[in-house]
Amino acid sequence: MALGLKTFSRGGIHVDDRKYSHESPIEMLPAPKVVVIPVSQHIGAPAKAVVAKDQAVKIGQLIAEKAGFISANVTSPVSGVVKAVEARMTPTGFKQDCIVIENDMKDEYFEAYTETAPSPELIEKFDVSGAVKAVEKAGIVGMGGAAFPTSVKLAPPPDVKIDTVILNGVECEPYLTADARIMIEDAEKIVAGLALIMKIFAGSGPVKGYIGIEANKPVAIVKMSEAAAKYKDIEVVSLALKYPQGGEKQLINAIVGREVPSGKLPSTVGCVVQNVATASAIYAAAVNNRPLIERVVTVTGLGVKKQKNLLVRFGTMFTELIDFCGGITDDSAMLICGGPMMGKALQTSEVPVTKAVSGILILNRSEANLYEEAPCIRCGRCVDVCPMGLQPGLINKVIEAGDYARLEELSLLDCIECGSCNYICAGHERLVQKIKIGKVKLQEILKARKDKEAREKANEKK
Amino acid sequence: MNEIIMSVLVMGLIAIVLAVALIISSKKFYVPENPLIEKVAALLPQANCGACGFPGCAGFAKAFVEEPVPGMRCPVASAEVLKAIGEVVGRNIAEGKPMRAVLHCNGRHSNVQKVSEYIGIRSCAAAHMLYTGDKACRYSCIGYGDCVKVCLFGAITIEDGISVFDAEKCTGCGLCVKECPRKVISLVQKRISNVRISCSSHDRGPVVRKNCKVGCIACGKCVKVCPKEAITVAPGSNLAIIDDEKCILCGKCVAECDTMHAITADGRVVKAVEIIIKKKQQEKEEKQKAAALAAAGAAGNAAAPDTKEVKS
Repeated sequence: MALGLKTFSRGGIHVDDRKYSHESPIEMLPAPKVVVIPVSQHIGAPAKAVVAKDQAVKIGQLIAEKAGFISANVTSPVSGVVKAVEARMTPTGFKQDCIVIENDMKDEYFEAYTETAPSPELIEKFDVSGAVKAVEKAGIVGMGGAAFPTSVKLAPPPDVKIDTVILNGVECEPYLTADARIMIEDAEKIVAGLALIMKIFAGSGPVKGYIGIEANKPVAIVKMSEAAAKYKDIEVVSLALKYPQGGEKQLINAIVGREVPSGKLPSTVGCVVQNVATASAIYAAAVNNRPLIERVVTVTGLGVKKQKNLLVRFGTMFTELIDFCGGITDDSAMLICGGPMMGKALQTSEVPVTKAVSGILILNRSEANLYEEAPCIRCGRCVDVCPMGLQPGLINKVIEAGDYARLEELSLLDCIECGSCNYICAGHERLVQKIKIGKVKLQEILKARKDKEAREKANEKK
Repeated sequence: MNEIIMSVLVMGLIAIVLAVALIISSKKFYVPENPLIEKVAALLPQANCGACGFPGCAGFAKAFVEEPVPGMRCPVASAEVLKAIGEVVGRNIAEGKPMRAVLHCNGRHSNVQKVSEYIGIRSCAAAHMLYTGDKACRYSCIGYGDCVKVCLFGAITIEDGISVFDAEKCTGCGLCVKECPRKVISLVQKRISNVRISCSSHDRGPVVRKNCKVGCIACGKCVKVCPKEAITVAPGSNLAIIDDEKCILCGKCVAECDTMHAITADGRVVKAVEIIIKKKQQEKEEKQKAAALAAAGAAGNAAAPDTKEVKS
């Protein structure tokens, strides 16, 4: 690889990174008058609302309680009065139950919090026994985009031994710069968060910490290296530019060279990966008892007048963020929640910012241009670039033929929907979209088979 | 010349040897099969749609002759065909009511608001996964033709953004019902006509009105007018549902739903509806006339004493 930088071994593409907002510092967006908080902002079971209409709430107060093992709490990002608990449009593209809170602008906290400067001595002395509980209480989820409940990740089954904690500061999606700005402006807290996570896992043996950052963020690398130098066993790894390096499995492969087996979690190879923003939130929750009420969102793309990084309260409408950035341009064409590779196109900007929203991307006509779909010429480039070692072209043909049962042997469920095949396709086929349909169909088949087996077992017992 | 004769002879010889081998093997390795299976299979529609739950018509025939399960039937075949099969096997085939598919949406482009431009693959399943397709209503027929693709009988066409079902061609196999990601298709009895709620929206009335010209707002007028209590609006569902078993095709609900036109009918009911609407119109006009007369009369009576008074 160029300059001898580390990167993952299989597949990957080189995309134009277009980080327009990289130089603009994080700006604080004033808290909105009304916030809309979906009860389901994470992967897993939706949380259960525990507040009713007209109830007064304060910042950090629990408004929806986790329901199930893989689930997360939701706390109020403003102080005020609950106006309604009803179905509203969310960035998933579907209506979900939301708690609507009117802000009284007093910004009163439910519980007192502390403000401490992060330092190695502080982490050294800190008792981590209550840390996972604190993270669970604050409702922290993975803030890179997948929104997996962090408390579940921090408490693996007892037989799993973690020896490596990796912080994900890769931000390989083009356009997005939220993580890069946090690393530049808040490096100390992130590294302290990492040290804290390492201490949580330290009970079963020595733990090494890595922070993976792509080489297109030199300032972030310098700042993070400076902060990391104070701590033992933390290393900042500069990575070569390649998409999708921010994928959990790709990042583990790039930094420690381990391969996560198909269908398994990173913990099987002794690794835990956390986003940099999540690490910062873990520090704030565990050490300072601060609830998770805001996040940095990149508003970018050539369809918006000014590209900015904004610190916003959860539940703020996309519209307000866009207005703060000067509104949309005349030739804006497409609104995407997230990055251009894996983000989701939205129909309306009247949706709230949730824990998983890392960016709002507004493309103009020329950026959003889609090529006409043409037949597959079997060039095999999709196979070359697939970071999971799949055969997207073949999978596509099988899906088109409706032979869904065969998708299992093609390991379709390993697909991380990164869009590399789509990007490289000479025929501009909409591979990922078809693969998503295929996944649903395959899961139906697998579920039907499981049900059948369960039925037969029950019959045998009779 | 010699070569031609030689080659013909050699090829002929090979053909004879192979033919003999084939004849011997066909006799020796003959698998006895119930001749009824072939007969039954020949009678079946040969659409191989799989609606019966067996792999194609041959699979159904084999299962029906050899190891029948109570209640197994071909949902596609007509009553005559079923009867003929029953005669062949000497055992009655379960007779179900003939069914047909109908669409519970009238979201034509002229009726429902278009809110965005969809540029992905033309598949309802894909559009449904994203959000609502290009229509404002998230319960509507998307109209990219996933049902058309699975229909083996050519009964479905896309017209103006929704699927249109040909009642004649539809056999009620139910493949489209299974395929539809929005679940806006259902099976109803194949009768002279059909009355259905052309809407599947569970949104509240004002939202429906904003999105669509012909959506059900769950006002409940149809529930009151139905003589057989076939229509219900489940609390919280914001949608009227007709029980096809109870519906007697009177058409009163279609005429009653005159604000939103969310109940549609086809076949003979259409005429009945026209008559009902005409009658209603007449009644209304008569009422208006009577009211106008009464008003005029009242005005006349009221005015008369005044004049008298003035005169006196």
